[in-house]
Amino acid sequence: MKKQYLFILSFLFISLFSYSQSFNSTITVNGLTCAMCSFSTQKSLEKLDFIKQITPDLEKTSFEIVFDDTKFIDFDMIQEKVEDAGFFIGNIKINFDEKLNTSNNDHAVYNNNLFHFIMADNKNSSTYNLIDKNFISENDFESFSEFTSHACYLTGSHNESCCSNHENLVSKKVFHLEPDSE
Amino acid sequence: MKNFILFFFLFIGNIALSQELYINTEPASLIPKGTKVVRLHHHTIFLNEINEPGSVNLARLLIPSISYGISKKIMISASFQFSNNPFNPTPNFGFNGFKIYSKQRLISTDKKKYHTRVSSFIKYANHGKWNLPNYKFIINNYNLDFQDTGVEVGLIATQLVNKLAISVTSGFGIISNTTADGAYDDKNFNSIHNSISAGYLLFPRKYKSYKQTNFNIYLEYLTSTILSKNYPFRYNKFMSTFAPGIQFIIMSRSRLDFSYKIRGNEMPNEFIMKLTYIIY
Repeated sequence: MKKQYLFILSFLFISLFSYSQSFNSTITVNGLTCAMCSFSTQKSLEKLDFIKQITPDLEKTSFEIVFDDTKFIDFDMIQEKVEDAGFFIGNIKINFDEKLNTSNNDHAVYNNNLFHFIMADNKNSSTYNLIDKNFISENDFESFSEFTSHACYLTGSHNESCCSNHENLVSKKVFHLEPDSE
Repeated sequence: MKNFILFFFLFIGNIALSQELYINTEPASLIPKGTKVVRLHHHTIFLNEINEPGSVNLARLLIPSISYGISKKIMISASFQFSNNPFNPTPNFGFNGFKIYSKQRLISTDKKKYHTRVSSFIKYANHGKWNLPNYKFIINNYNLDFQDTGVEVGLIATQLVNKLAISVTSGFGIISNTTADGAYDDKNFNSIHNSISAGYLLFPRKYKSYKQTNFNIYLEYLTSTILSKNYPFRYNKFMSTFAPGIQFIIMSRSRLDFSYKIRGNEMPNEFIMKLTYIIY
């Protein structure tokens, strides 16, 4: 019995600490068909100061991105840089160090980013998809909208009426995640 | 020729990736914002007996150019031409004109390893230091890219379907017949340029690293047609050019292109080398 309590306690302890765990990202870029295209996209992404390291997977036309944990990660800027190079984001996956334990409409701060979890049908995972308006299709956005009444999903920014207790964050932006079903 | 085209398409039918960095035409895609592309062309035009006005039978053109991506939707480019004067028997080489070019992105849609691009372009060229009214590098032909003076506007569409990249360019040009000495040769005339280009990546078959040298093959068919009824008699109303080519992409930022242009109407053929380097 005691052992079980200890286990639960330690689990709670870990889950609290997991808020400071780091995350990296896998971005898939559409339309990349040549060496120069991928290299141009990488060079464009390298201009972002919150990106520490980029590893390309040229067959899958994706990039593994390691972030600078001390900075706010602006995924909108990632999209802008990919589009500057002439291409489009296919998907942004956020990979946490371990499996998260979140329920629908949970908000959590990881490093300097506020994330809002939208749990449609999928179970918890360590990999989440970015599902903000500009990153997914209109249809997908509408179907995810049914799972939240928070205004921040529409506006992309947190404020008092929507997501409280996040006043001390560097950015007003909140990014929305759903668990990756794969 | 038909057999060659058939062979070409059969040969490339099952290749994994395709290319659209065409040698003799511009693709509809733009260079990335803030990127500079420097390029050096070397053209060798094999002047034939009909067209050789003097004792020199080769025209050599050296064309340095620089392009810049102003935004994700607009790029500009400028090129300068240095060449020998094939109509003068004494050795000579010098500045012979320039071209400015701008391309604007209109439509851009992407899926995984699939994309559609439509762009518009505008081109102004002024060549003609060597070109006395009746002598051009290639008489009975006009081309704003290396001879003639004028302006051209047009559309480019590049589509990648089932691993096959095809680009179509259509341009409307007004060719001026003013030469550097101010002489006019008849009136200006209107023309259209149409071309279709295809390109494929042959190697590497598995794409793992930026350091792999890519080897691409290209096939391009270029036509020009004069629309005006009163055009100078020395021009052919219709000209077609068939241009096979190969390309090496080195370290994902340099390009070395070779192309041989086979012209119709017994016009001189041409060998082109291009060296391209991208500055990020």
